Amino acid sequence: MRILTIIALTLFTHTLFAQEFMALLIPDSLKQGADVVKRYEEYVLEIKSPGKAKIYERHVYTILNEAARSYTKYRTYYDKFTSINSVSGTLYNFFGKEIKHLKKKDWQDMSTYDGISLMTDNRVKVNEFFYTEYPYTVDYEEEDETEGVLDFTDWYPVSAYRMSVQQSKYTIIAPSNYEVRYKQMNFTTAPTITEKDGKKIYTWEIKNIPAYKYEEAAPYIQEIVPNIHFAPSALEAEGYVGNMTSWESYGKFFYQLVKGRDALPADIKSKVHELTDNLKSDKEKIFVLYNFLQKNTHYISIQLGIGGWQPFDATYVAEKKYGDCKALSNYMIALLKEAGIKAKYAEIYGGKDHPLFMEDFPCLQSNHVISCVPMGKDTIWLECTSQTKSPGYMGSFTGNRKAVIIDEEGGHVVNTPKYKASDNLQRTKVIATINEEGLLDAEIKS
Amino acid sequence: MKFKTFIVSTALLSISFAGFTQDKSNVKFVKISAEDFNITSPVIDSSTAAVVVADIGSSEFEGNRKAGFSIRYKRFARIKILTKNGIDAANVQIPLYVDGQAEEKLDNLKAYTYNLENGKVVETKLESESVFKEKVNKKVSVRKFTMPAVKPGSIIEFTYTIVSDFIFNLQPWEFQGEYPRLWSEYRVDIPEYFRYIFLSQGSKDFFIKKDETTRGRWEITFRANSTERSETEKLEGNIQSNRWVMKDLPALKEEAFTSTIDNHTSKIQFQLASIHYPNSPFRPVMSSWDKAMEDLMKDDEFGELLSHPNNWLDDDMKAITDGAATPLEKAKQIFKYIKNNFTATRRSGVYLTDNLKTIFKNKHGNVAEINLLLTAMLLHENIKAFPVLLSTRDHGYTNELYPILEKFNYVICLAQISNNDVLLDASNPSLGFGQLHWKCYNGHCRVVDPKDPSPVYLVADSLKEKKFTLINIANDEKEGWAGTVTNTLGTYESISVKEEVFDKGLDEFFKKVKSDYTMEIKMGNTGIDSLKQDGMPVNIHYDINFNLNKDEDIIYFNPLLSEAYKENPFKSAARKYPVEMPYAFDETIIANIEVPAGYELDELPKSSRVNYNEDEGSFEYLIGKTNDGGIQLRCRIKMNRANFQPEEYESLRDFYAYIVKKQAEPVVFKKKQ
Repeated sequence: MRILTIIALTLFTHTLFAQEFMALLIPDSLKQGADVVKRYEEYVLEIKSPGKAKIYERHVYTILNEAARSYTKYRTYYDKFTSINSVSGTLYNFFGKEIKHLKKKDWQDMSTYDGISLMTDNRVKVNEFFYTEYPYTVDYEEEDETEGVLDFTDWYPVSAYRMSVQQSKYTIIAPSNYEVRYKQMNFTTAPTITEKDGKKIYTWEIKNIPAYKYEEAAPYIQEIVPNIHFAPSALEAEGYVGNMTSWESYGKFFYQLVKGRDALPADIKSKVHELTDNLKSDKEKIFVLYNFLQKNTHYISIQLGIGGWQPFDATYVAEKKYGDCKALSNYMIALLKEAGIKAKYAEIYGGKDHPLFMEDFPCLQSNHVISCVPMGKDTIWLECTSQTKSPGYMGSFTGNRKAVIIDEEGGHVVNTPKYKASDNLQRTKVIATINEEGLLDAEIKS
Repeated sequence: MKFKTFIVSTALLSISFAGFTQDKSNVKFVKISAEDFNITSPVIDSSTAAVVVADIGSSEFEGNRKAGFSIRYKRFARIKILTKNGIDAANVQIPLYVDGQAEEKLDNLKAYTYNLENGKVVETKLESESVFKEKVNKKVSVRKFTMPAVKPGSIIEFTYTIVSDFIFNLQPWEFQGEYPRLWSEYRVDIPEYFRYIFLSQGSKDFFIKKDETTRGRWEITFRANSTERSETEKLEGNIQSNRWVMKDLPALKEEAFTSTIDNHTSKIQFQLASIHYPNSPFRPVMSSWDKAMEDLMKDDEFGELLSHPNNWLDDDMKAITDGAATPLEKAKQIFKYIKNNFTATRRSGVYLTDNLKTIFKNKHGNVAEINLLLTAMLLHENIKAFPVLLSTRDHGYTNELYPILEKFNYVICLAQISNNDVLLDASNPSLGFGQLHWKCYNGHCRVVDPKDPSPVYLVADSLKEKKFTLINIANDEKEGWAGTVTNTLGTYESISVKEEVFDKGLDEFFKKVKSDYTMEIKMGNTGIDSLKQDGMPVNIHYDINFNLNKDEDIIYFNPLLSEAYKENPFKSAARKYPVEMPYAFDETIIANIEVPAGYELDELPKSSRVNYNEDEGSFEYLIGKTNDGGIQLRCRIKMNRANFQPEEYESLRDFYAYIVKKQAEPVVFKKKQ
C-alpha cells in the first residue's frame, strides 16, 4: 500500500516539474558573461512537397537576470500562406516548477504594422511572461503549416551577445528526390543523414557554446557565430513552379511573376513618344522618362498574398499613380520598353547596413526592387520609389553591393555602382566683400 | 441722329473666390472647375505641403428600428496637395466605434481625385476595392484608403456618412490640424430629449457661431419581442441647432515643450449629460463628482474590493510588513514589495481587467491594477489610502467641472500616514517612495473618495529640478590631454535615466552620450551611480580623451563639451499656445581646463549675464584664467517657472537664442612658437 502511494506521489510531482530545466543544472561555463542561456532549441522543417512545408519549433530559455527579460516575449507571424496549427508557452521557476501555461487560444492576436505599408495581411500572435524571481525559464513551442514557401528559416543557435547555448538542433525531413540545400558558416560539423520510407532526414546539432562578448567595431554577430543558411530547391507558389538551385533558375521563377505585366494604356504610350521620339541618345530618353516617373507617381505599399512577390501591373500604376518598389520598377521598365530601350528588373537588399551577399548560395537575399538599363560600363541604375534622386544615383541605400537581375534568361548577379570619396565632394565657392560699413556681400556657388 | 444709349445694368458679377459668399462655403462636392485649382490665402506659405480647402460636417439625430435614436454624421472634405510632402494627405482613415456585435456603419463613401491637365479637369474615382478595413482593438475598427492619381497640384475630395447607434458618441470636431484650413464648419442638431455638455478648447475665434431652435419629427420603431408586430411611434419636438465656422486657420504644429498639441487644437467635444424622452423619467447620464466617485468605488472593475476586509491577504501581509514598527515603515515595506515583485504590463490604465486576487497571484498588471492593489494592501494594514485619478501629460488635460472619466488614463495612490499625505506610484521601478513621474504633473487630478472627492493639482511649476555638471581636463603623461565628466542629475531627470537604462541597457545609454559629441572622443570608465538606489538621484560619470591632433596650429575648443544647447528649441517665429516645460530647472556647469601642453591660450569668450523678466530666469556665463594659466568656466541657467503664456513666447525665444549663441563660443589655443 505504502509503495503504491510513493510511486503515485513521484508520478504526480513529475508532471508539474520540468526537472531538466532546473536552473541549478546549468554548468558554470555557460553562465559566465551571459544574461540568458538557450537551454534547448529544436527546429524541424518537414518539406512535404515543393511549396508545402510543416514547421515545428521549440525554444527554451533560462533568463538569468533582468537584462535579458525581453526573451520572455515570443512572437509568431502568420499570413495568407502560413497558418499556425498550435502554439504554447510555459513559464517555470528556478526549481523547474510550472508557474503558467498558455495554449493557442490564450495568445494575444494582432495585425502587424511594418512602418511603411498601407495594408498587409500579416498578423502576429504575441505573449509575454511577467516574472521577477530570477533565474526562471520559458518554454515556447509551435507548429505551423505553410504553402508557397520561398524562404526557409536559417539556423543561428547563438542569436545574440551575452547568450550561451546548451543545446540546439535543426532537422530537415524531405522527400528522397528533393534536393536539400544548405550553406554552413563558421561551422564544420557535417549533418547526420539518414533515409527512411522514401524520405531523407538531415540533422545538425550543437552543444555547450559559452556566451560571446561584445567588442567595439566588431562585425555583426551573424557573421562570426556558427550558422547555417537554408533555401528551397524546387518551388511552387500560387500555381507558379520552378526551382532555386542556380541564379538562372531563381531568376526564371521570379520572372514568371513579373512578365507580361507591362501593358501600358494608350495615352501613356503616346506620352512616352511625345517625350522621347525627338531625343537623340538613349541616355537622354532614360533621364526624361525617369523624370516623368518621379513627377507622376509615388510610393504606397500594399502587400496582400501573392502581392508580396508579384508587382501590380503597369496599367494599375498608370491609373492610380502609386505603387510599391516592385510595381514602380515594373512601370519604369514598361515606359522604357515603349521608347525602345531594354531595362531590367533587379532584386537587391536596400539599407545603409546590409548583410554579406552569398553569391554561391542562390536564395532570397533581397528586400527591395530597382531597375537598370545595361549599357556596358555605363549601366544606368534607377531608384523608382524616389521623387528626388538623380537618375543613375544609388547612394548608400542601394550602392556598392550585389543585385540579382531577373529577366527572360533567368537571373544573374551584378554589382551596383560604388562611390569613391572623390565622387562625394561638394565644392562651395564663396566670393565675399566687406564694405566700409562692415556689411558683407557674398556670392555663393555650390 | 439720336443714339440710344443702352445702359446695361450688369448684374453683380459673382467673382468666384476660392471660398465663400458671406455665410456659406461655395465649395460643393463634385462641382469643380479649372478656376478652383487656383487657391491663394494668407495662411498658405512656401512650406505648406497641402491645404484643406473645405471641411464640412454635420450631425443629425434620426429615429431607428431599435427603439431609439441614431446619429447620422456626414462629412465632406476637399484638400489640395501642393508639394510631394503633402501627398500623405491622400491617405485617409475613418475610425468606427465597435461594441461587441454593434458597430458604427460607414455609408456612401465617395471620393475623387482631380487633376488639371491642359486646362481641363480630369477626374479619377476611388474604387471600392481600394478601401481596406482593419480592426485596431476591441473598441475601434478603421477604414483606410489612399486616393488614386495623386501628385502635387491634385485636388482630392471625399464624402461619407457614419450612422451610429451610440448616442454618447456625438462626433467631436477639430477645426485645426497639421495643414492650413480655409473653411472648417460643423453643425449639430440635437433633439430636446438629449442634453450634451459642449466642451471647447483652443482658439475661439469663430467666423460664424449660431444657435437656433427648430422643429423636428422622428419615427421610432420598436418591438416588445420578436414575435410581436413592430410598432412605430412618431415624435415631434424641438431641435437645438448649433453651427460653428472657422476660416483661414494656419497649420498647427506641435513644437518643443508642449504637453500635447491635442490640448491646444481648436476643438469642440460633446459629453452626454442626460436623456429625457417624453412620458419617461429623466435619466442622468453624467453625474456629479460625488456620484461618479461613489460609482467608481462600487465598480468591481475599480474600487469595489477596496471596501472589503480582503482576508486573503492576511498571510502575505504578515510576511511583507514583518519588522515594521510604525505605519510609515509598514507603508514603505509594502511599497517596496510591490515595486520589486510586480511588472507593469502597460504604462497607463484606469480599470481592472482582472480581480485583485488574480493580479496579486500573477504579479503583473496595468498601472491601475498595481496601484489599486497597493491601496488595498495599505487599507488592510489600517493605513488610510485612496486611489487618485489623473491624466498624463501626453494624454491631455482633464476637465475640472465635469466628471468625464475618459479624460483620465492613470491611477496613483494617496496615503495618509501620521497626518501626512503622500502620493505613491508603485508601477514604475524607477520611482522612489513618494515620488511621481514628471509626466503626472499635468494639472487637475481627483481623489476617489466618495465622502470628499477633492481635486488635487499637480503643477509642473512646482517641480524644481537641479543639475550639476563638473568637467575637469588636464595634461596627463600617459593619456595626453584628457579628463573626466560628471553629471549629478535632479530627481526627475534621474527617473528618466533609470527608465532608459532599464529599457535599453547601459551600453546603449553611453552610446547615446558619446554620439552627442560633435568631435571625435574616446570614452572610458563609464558608470552611473545610484542607479538601483530607491528614490536617489543618479550620478553619471566617464573619462574622456580628445586625441588631440598636435599638428594643428590653432585649436578651437568648446569648454562646455556636449553640454551646450546646440540649437534653439523654439523654432517657430510665432506661437499661439502656451509653452509647457516638464519642470522648472537650475543647471550649473563648472569646467576646469588646463591649456594643452605645447599650446597657449589665445582667445577667451567674454563673461556675460542675462536675466529673463528680471527675476524669472537667468543665464550666467563666467569665464576666466586661473593662476596657473588654465581656464575656469561657470555656466548657469535658471528658469523659475515651467509654464509660460503665449504672450511670453517671443521673449522666451530671444532668451534661448542668446544662450545658444553664447554657449557656442569657443576657446582658442595657439601652438607655442
